[in-house]
Amino acid sequence: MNNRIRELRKAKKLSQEDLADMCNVSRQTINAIENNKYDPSLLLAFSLAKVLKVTVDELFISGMESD
Amino acid sequence: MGKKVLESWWAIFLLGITLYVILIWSDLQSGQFLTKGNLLMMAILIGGGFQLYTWRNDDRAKKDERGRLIIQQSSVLSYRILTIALFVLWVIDRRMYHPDNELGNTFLFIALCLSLVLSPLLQLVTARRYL
Repeated sequence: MNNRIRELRKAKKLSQEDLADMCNVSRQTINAIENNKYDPSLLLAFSLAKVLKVTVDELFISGMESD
Repeated sequence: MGKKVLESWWAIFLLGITLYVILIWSDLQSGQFLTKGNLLMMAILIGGGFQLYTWRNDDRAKKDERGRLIIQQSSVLSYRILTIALFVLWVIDRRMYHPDNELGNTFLFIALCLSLVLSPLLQLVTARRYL
């Protein structure tokens, strides 16, 4: 699933490490999500949305929408 | 914290390898290389090396949801490989050492049967938790 995490993270001037610390996951997990190699759980998706101050549906772009 | 801790774990790992090489060398002098202790220690060192290389001693990476998924996926795959390996070993062992025995190596055969039953049984138990 595509997402806007990298774009929103950079807009907030956060590093992957910062975002990872705020969401209590590893930097590698944030990197994998940003590169669309891993789809986060619902819990992590909400946590990311909360930290980046957007809603979950603003954060993720489903395959159907991107087509 | 990460880099120092990682370096210390690599140092312990390299120390372990050094000790192992010394042990192997002394065993070679006395003509006993393939002892069960040596082989077991080699397996532990290889496994430890892979663990250290994969997780870099990063506990968070290992325990977060992606880490757990990696461990879960690799556990399922290794279980299947182990089951096939048990079958192959049982067949080889039976042909080489127990050609007249129907079961071959009994304990190896029991381990094989257990491996075929254990996973479906635990799937049943786990599935019931979601009913």
